[in-house]
Amino acid sequence: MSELLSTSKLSKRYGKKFALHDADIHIPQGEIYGLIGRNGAGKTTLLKLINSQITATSGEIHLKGQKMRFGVPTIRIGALVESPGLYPDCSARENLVYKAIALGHNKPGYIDRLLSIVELSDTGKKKAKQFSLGMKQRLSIALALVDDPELLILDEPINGMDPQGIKDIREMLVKINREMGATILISSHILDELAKFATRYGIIKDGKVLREFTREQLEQENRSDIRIESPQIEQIEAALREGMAFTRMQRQGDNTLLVQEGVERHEQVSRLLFDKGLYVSQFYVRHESLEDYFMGLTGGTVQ
Amino acid sequence: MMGRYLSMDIRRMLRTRSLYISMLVSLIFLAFFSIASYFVTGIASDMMPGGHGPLPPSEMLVQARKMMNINYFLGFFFTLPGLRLLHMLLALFAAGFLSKEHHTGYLKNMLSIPRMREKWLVSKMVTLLLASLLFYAVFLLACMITVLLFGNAVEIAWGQVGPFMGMQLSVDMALFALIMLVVTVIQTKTAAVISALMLSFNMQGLLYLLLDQIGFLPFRLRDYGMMNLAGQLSLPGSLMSFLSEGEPVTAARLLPLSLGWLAVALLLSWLALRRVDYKG
Repeated sequence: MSELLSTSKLSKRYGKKFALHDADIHIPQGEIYGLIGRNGAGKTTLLKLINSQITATSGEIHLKGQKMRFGVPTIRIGALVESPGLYPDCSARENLVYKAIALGHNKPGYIDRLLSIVELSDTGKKKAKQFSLGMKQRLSIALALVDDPELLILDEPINGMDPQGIKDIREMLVKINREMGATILISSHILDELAKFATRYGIIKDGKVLREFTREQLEQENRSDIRIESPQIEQIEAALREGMAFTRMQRQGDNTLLVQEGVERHEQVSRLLFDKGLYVSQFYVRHESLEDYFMGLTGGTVQ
Repeated sequence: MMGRYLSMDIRRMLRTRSLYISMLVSLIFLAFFSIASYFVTGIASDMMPGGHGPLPPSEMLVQARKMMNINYFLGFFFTLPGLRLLHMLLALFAAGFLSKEHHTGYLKNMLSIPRMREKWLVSKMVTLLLASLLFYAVFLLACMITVLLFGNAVEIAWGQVGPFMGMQLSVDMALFALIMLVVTVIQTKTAAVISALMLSFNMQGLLYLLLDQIGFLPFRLRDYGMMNLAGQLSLPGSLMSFLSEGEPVTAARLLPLSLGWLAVALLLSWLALRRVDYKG
């Protein structure tokens, strides 16, 4: 898959302190890229640089392989970075119309389609300042969608929202990614939520990008396992090797077996052992979350 | 593309309440001034050529009212020292209009659009030019109505009014550009409003006056203050033309200053838009 965005040794310094230091990220077209980091890690700085809100101290941004010069992107970018930027005294439609006019989108139904995507079609003349936080976030996402961006940048779009609001935004973003074909770069510190729909991740700490990995790599590398305790551990190991074709198993002492694959099929494992009449005294499923993985890499807690 | 951006700004400008509030305030002041002019003998005395002589006050008022034409009212609101009401109202409107997109954060939705900064700058200035023309037109119309109410014939001496208003417009445009510079560098509404007030109240003129007192320059700085000169522009028949004793200011003195400030402030604003990090 071709790369839509990449950065090379991108840095931003305020005084003597680097908010971002030699950051390299790579986002293939069509992906949902989750940028993970604690508060102050440099996530927003990176997003602002890509959105031309601030200028880099050094380093490069490449869009579809072309170097971005003088903050002028060569692809269409839509962004919601930090607070929603809305005209508070205007309705949702008016907020969209202003940007749409500036970008020459005056086809009938264009604004209606955007309002429908973010489910704000029925807000009528209600002013943006009277919107709930979730509605403001959705309107801001609609604003970012004006001009059908190839890259959609979202900075903590689910901050402070209730679970239903978070779910709505998640579903909306997946829909935008699939139906509009927009590549999405999203930062969040609600990692388990990000894990539900991001396809690629980058971990940032103290202004440095520590690692990038795909969802598949995450699943392969994480420490999820099934821990089985039984006096018949040899028979159990043989049964799993034969019945489930497992090879990554590890004995711990005389009575414990760690199964390091097929964690998602733990119910089948349990059924197999039951059917074979094998006695199991303890059966644990340990599933490492993205948050656990993040903490393992950064050695800290998520804020 | 530029036209589209301009279209968006004009649409926004026409929906900005402060434009109409500014117009309303100017019209209220015009009404106050008209009423005062109608009854105040002091003003009438100033207007009578060579003093009022043996005329009784009531007759003097009648004679003076006949001289209250378009130039009289325009001159008062553009040039009276310490007031310059129209410049102040327009500067305050411009401060709100220019800082709105920084203040609300709306601008960040647009920053990734190619050449958006240049379009933003040009479009804002053109929109403010149109707003000023609209404002001037409304005020001129109100002056015409007032002249009619005074029982005088409405005769606009375009040869005098046109250049006068054109030069005042150049001063307004320079003011807008200076406010834009503040907006692009400091990026807050408060800074924009304060700068609009200070510039339109001619704080610069006060500063020049103080510096002149030190006398370290071989010329008088205040002779090169844009707002000073704008206040001394000659408009025959205006109150200032009766009060002023010095040489009237000509276009040759004012225009290089106002257009110079306009060019410098626009250039610096453009650089600031490109180089200063967006804070919203």
